[in-house]
Amino acid sequence: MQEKPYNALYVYGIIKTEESSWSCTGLKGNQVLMISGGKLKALAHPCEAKPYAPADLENIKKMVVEHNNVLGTAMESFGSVLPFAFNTIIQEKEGKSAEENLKDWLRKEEKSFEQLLEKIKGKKEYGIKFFYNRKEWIKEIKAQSSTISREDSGIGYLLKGKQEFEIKDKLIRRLNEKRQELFNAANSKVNEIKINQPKIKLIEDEKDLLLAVSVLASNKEFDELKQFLQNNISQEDYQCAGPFPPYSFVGDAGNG
Amino acid sequence: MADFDDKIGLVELLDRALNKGIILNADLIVTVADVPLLAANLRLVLASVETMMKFGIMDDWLIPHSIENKKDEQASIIKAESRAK
Repeated sequence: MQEKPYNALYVYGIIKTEESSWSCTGLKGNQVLMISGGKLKALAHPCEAKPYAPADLENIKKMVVEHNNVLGTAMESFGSVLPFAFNTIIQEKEGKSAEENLKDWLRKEEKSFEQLLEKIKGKKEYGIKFFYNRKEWIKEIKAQSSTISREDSGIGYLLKGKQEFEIKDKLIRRLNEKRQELFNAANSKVNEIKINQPKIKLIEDEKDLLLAVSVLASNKEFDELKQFLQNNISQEDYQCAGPFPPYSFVGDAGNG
Repeated sequence: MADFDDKIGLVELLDRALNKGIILNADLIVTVADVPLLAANLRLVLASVETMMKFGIMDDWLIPHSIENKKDEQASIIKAESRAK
């Protein structure tokens, strides 16, 4: 039987280590290799030059978790790792193999990656979502507004429109103030913080999202942040997830 | 690392692992033509895409939102005024 042409590399992450071998199983049972380029090493496995296309949700979840597990194990072994997104595959190009392309790129970006690895050393990413009750907030704001008599008259109609505008405006102002307050509070406890724009949401999750952030924090910093949240915010109004490799804090590097 | 048996952790992981990470020169990577499909599958089964404002920094996120709302509201007031006349 003819062997499959493995002319591409599926990459998991970038590390800095003196070690030359590491044992870890990646996607679909593939052994993860360390490929050196300058002072850095990429964690990768050889594959065909086409992306993985899991057929259903169960397989998507399984493969994304496997991808993440390689990064988690690397974080434990080497201290810090710069993660790639799931399904990042490097190909051969202009007569250069995928491995040569990867090594060239690692050498080219060495300085910025070293700085980034230093920045994230000993820290992990956590996600925090804050919620509010939109209906309740509108009710509270309405209760503070004056009632309009004779809504059916021309003037009453105009006043009602004006009042609705004022209610919406007050709601937006209150949301902005609360977001700023939560952002500042979280920011004061951690190393770095970024606002998230979640693209995936649970269908059954009917809570109104106030603010979603990713924080980069050491264990101690995150414990302090959790303590602060427990002491100041109702348990139903926020949720924490993680730790994750620092996916949200490495996006600016590598394109340089 | 986190236990991804729970739905919240898994959704947060998918959001990150599918959309974030180091950016590699586009000409070096395999064109991931199936990824939009994969994301579409995910949205159908798991999720709905939130129509939220684009936000880079806090101000960018909040100010246009307020302005847009004010514009809509002003338009509805003008409509109401003309109906009242």
